[in-house]
Amino acid sequence: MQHQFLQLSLAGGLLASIGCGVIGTYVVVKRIGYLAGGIAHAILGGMGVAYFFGRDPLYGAIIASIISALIIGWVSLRFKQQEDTIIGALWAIGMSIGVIFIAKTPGYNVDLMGYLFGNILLINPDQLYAMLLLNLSVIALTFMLYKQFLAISFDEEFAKLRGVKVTAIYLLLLCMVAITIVLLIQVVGLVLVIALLTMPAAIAGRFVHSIGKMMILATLLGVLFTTGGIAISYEPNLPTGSTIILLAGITYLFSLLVKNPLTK
Amino acid sequence: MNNVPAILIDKVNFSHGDLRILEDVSFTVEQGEFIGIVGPSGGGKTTLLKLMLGLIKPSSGKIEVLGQKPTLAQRRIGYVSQYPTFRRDFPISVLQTVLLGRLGITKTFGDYSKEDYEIAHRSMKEVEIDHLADRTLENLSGGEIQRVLLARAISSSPEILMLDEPTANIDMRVEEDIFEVLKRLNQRITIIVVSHDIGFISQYVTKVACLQRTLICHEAEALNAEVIEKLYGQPINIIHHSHCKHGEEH
Repeated sequence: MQHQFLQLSLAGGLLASIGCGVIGTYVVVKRIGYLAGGIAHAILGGMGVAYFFGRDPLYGAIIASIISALIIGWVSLRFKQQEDTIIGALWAIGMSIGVIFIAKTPGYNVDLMGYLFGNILLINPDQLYAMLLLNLSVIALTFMLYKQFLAISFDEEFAKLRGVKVTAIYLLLLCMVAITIVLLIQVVGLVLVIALLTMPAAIAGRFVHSIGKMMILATLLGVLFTTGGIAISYEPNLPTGSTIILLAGITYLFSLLVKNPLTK
Repeated sequence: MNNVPAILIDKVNFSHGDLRILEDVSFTVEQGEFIGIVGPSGGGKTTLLKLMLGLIKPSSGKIEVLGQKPTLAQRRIGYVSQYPTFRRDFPISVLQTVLLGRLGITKTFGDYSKEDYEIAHRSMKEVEIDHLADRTLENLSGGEIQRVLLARAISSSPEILMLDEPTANIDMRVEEDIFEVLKRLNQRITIIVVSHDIGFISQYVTKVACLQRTLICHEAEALNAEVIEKLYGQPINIIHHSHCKHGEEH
């Protein structure tokens, strides 16, 4: 029994790592960490509403993540000048809706801390299947549209001149970021999710110089951080999500000090 | 290819707010020509290029590229912008950068085809950067970056090549090398190059268009001290590049 829940949480960590390695790489190279943060926090609105109506918060999270990705994407394209202010507002509005709906839900009170900071040890097989499915769709899209994602991340003007549907590809990428965030919320919660999304890819980016290699190295680092975090937090009964992030954060800061041996 | 002109510009005006940037500009570029568009900065050179690329629309007048509307002809043009529109520290190799020129031609989904790789390598060879294929952009010199951009532009097998100040940030020796490459490419591609450096490009191009809000001249032969004074408002020595080594006939 005890072993089973550990196995489930390790599998959860593994699945989350693939998403954070692949999509985290795009978030880092396209520098959209702040947009991702907005999406992550707005998701609480959808979770709260779903919870209030007695539905699974996971579905609320998926729907809210797509809606907020599209709105935030549209804002960033249309209102470049006030982008950060508007995203900041959407970020807070989403969270407030979530908190109000959760507070007004009849019956016993939900563990709000679980949504905010995650709990990988409570992951169940159904959630794992959902994670697997979301992961597969994100990876399939990445393989199919690798060239286009690279083109719009690297050089938008040129991509446009070559006939790439820049706006559509950009919004699709944000939706994939949104889905990945939903995956990661199970593990570290929505407050810390941006750290898990960006730090493995940022570390990888210091040592390898292609998108593909960054994705692979970031995934491996993700596995290392989630597994290491579970191992370290288990005995002294520390909050797992925070331990994972602390491990990743310290590694990231150290990686900034190390001089890349590959750079000439 | 048939005889439609590469570029047809007819009575084009372009304003940005109250500011008139281009006024009654008309000219034609035949296929196979090597055109230099010169003029002082702020004279509307880049604007004219963007109009031909279909990135912006004229306030009035007609523009045709290879007999089509500019937005439709976009993919038949190779474009090298004045400033790289990307970050130099982006994790991408020279080969992957050049391959991006195949977008719009290659299949939509999945990896590039074998043909795409062959064409990318051929393009790199043509501008003599084949040995840099696996390098990242970060460690390249200004001249090497310019060649990468050129290789990316020609890997899409364009019928017209447009370059905006291709040698603005590199030294003169490299500038000569790049124009030698362009001269070679001109054997099969129409080339339009924007420059502020009238003296230098006049030894390479077949025709010069001098732009100062409106077109002042459009023949290399007509390029005399009087026109240049009109263009820049002061006399300028045309042959201030004394490294010109071969007598070009126009």
